[in-house]
Amino acid sequence: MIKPYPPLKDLIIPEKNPQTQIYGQRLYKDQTHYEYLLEFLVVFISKKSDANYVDSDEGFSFFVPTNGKKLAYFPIPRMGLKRFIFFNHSDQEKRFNIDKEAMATHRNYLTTLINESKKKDYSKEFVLDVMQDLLFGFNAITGKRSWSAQALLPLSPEMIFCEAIGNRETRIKLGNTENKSSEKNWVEVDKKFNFDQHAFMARGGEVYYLHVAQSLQNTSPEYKELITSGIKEMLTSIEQLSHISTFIQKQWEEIVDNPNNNDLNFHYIKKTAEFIPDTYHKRGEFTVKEICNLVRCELDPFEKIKLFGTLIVIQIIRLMTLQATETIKGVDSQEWLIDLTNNSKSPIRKIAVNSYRELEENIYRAVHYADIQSYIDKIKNMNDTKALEAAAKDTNLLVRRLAKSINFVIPNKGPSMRFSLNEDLVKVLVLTLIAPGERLLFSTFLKKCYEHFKIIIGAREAAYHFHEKEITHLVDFDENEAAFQELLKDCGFLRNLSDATSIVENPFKG
Amino acid sequence: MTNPYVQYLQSMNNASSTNDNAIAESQITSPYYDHIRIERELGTYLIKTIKEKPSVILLTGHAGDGKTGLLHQILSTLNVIRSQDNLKIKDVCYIEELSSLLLYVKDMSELTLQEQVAYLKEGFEVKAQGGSAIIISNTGPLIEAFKEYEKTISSNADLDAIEMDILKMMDNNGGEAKFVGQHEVVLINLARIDNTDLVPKLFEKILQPDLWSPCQTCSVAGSCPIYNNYNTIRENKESVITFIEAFYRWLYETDKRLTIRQILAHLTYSLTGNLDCGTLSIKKTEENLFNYHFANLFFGYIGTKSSSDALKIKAIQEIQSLRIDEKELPHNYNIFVRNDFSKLKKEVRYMSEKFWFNEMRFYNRNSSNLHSDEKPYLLRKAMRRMQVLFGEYSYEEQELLLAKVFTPIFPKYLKLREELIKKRELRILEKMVVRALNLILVGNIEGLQAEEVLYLPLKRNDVDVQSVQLLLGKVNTTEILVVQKEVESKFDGKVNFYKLEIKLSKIEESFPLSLLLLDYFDNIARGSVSTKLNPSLTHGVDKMKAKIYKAYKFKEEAEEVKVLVQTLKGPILVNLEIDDNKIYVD
Repeated sequence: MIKPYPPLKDLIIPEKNPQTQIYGQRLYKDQTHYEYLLEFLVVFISKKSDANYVDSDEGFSFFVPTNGKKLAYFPIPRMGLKRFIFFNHSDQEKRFNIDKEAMATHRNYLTTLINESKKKDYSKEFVLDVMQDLLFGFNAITGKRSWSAQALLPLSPEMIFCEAIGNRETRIKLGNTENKSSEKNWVEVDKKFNFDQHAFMARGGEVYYLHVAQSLQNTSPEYKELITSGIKEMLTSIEQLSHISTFIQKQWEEIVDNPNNNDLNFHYIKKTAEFIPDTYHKRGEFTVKEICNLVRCELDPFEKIKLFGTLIVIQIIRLMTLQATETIKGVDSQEWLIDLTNNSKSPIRKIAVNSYRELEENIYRAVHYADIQSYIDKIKNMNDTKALEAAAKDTNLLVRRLAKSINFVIPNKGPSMRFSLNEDLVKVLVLTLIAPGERLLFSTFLKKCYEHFKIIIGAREAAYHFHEKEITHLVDFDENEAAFQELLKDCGFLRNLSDATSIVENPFKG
Repeated sequence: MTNPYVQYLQSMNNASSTNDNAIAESQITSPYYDHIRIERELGTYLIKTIKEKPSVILLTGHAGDGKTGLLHQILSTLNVIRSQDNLKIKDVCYIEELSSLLLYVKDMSELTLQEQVAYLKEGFEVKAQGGSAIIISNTGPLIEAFKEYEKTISSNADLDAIEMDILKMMDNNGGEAKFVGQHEVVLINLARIDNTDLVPKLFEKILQPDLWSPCQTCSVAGSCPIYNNYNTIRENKESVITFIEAFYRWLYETDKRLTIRQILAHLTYSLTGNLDCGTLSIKKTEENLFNYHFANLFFGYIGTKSSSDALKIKAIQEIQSLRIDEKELPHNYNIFVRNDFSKLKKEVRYMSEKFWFNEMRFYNRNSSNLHSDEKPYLLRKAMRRMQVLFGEYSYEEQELLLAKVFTPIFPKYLKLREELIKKRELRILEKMVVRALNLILVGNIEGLQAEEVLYLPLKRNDVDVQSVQLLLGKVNTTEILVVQKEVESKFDGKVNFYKLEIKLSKIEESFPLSLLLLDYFDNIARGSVSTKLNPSLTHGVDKMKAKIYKAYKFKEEAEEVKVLVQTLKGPILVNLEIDDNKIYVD
């Protein structure tokens, strides 16, 4: 049985599904890689307390209750703003009349607030379109989704939305109500979303939040300060976006005129985070150092957000890898063998493919160490096969999908899956393993990749890692290592300092 | 008859099998070494360092950068060894002038780790007793030895910090004494020293008349390509050196720096073609003179054919990759169309003309194959090589040549490096930089240019469509300056030069404008869209962007939202002032 973090008082782990029992609640198949970052940030910026409101916290923090209660957090839904930004860009079929009217009302009201210039003749509609296009230009997740489930890049706290899923029948019904455009009805229109379905923001960000919070408890307080302020700065540096977002939502609330100043599901929603396995703390120090290096880099805001999103995915996969072999063998022994040779005949390719296969096996096998029987007994119509099939989707198949989404595992389709690196991933490794402005010997950098992620590229790490097993291909790793060196050079991170001594540096010092 | 000096020169390149001297040790003991070696200012600097206070000096660098030569220079200047003495692997000598000990290690890399640590330790002991140490080592062994040594001193030494200290010193290469862990050392990384300025001196030494005097009395002097090369270059030394120096400068500035040994290999091969003095015959005289001419050998060609032996020389690989002899050069029209060779130096004019007419005879009668045959093409290439090194050029033509051969901005860059240029010329560069920055940061700038403002929009680089961009700040273009900054070389006091920098009035640090960056900006400003930037420079540009955005952020209240709207008629600027419940637009 795993030890949970935080140590919740009333938690009965065996009643959870097997994958949750092993990897925490929860890592779920449908969450896209970007939504790990967004959900994590929702928890980070929101006000928090324990589920019984004993302790509380003002947000932008890594608060976790210590009294055995679950962590509760209170995101602000801002449905008016969300509708303003996304409605006109969403799938026609998912634009329901009631929202169309709400949108029109919102825009009409806004036009009355516009004072045109005497010099230039912009129409009021044009001004609203400019505001809408400005914000929509920062979209992150759109696609076929309904407007309420779309998302922006987190360039200001107001632009970080929580999950809101509209039910078709409910939306249609709301449109048929008689006094539909009365002020009271607008409140209902905004509140009647499902904020707790965990479909897209499926708690993966909560899991990551708990991991970071736990790690920060175990490291020196200066890290907590650096990371908290670093992330806050990343989210608040562009005040204009905060201002314009706040204005649009505020004017909507003027129309809605909700008499209740603090209305649940309108002004805020309440969510609770669950638990993670305590074992994750074993790489806590690494997680903290990686984030800390990244947030201190002087980077374009878009770039930083993108790299952070990728880093989270890499760390989540590492956490699952760690938990798998810790559960099965009691040691963190599963390597990530990276193939950079780009040669289907190279022995490295074979080793890397085998290694990745073993990784997926381990991640899935670990689930069998859960108390499956108690879970089956508890849930109606549940059996072994069903439970394990579902578990595969949330474990090894989840790792595969996430890794492929950042091109960490290639090819995207077809056999011979293995770890590889592209320019973005190389950038993440350099910027998270080396402090901004610092430099390391190439050999030391390889060592760090191994320490943090059990990444094996060169012969030295391979020899060290496989010390017990027979490894006949050590010399083949030289080709792999040379390819990595070339890749780092092409990305502008590696320089030859003198005789055969290459250094890797993180140039983004502020 | 043979001139042993020619053999000595030939032994300095590895293009043939006789390469006895292509390693440092054997070069030094040759009697000719004393004639051609250059006193390096760096040696003087290090002697001064030792005289000022006891020091441990660590010398690193690529093989062929002159580490051993430098040590030899220092030791013989201090009268510890005689000029033709071999160096020992490690020795402790007594310097009479200072009445103190000097430990030297010729090459740590040849020793075991235990020996390395022991010698390092001994070096610090000598220093503690008032002496000094000079240790030559490759970087890898140096770092390992240092870590190992620190471990013997304290069990909880921060080994990562030692590595970072050493790497930082190697990177900055300032020549000052600094601490690595607990120990103060002077670390010199020869791989980071610009050696291009040594080329003219080196060439001059090689061409010293007394070394060539035995050739004068040789029976085949009149038909010897080597002696002919020597004479041709003596006559045109200045113009040849200008081009050679520009070529090596180009390599240095584009991260393809050569070591001194590589430069020597190139120059000695270009002079001698590794021909055997003893067996040169009088036959085929003129053909030989042309085939083994400096202008061909310098590019790795014998006559019109590329020599595979020559391609072992790095400089020749590099110069061939530039494809200089396929470019449109200033005198092409005169030579190829008008068959007028008067724009070549007189020493090569007659020879080239004769060779050209002789080889082209066939095509004069029958021009149908002129464009499809390879021979005329190869001949034209040979003529281009000749005109690159031995053309007559006015000042303007010389600049045009370098612009054609390398990159349009290159002659200007060389000038900027050498001398202070007129304010007006700097203003032109500023305009170019501003235009490039505008194109990089904003993109479509038609209509906005007149305002003399550089806008700073919040622009995504992962999508094309962002029709409305938030403006985060702006820079008045008058605040963007391009300045020349004089750089005094610590080690080579006589070769000061000017460095180009971009300076913004609100940012304290300035941004170095290297040749590659200048070229990149120049290309962008000229409207090139597909210009790819060297990735390490991309980081530089990104950092500069980040710094500019930070310093020139709008200071006004957040209520003022300025946006750039891309319309079909070009971008327009919209100002939204948003207060509690009003939006003012203008």
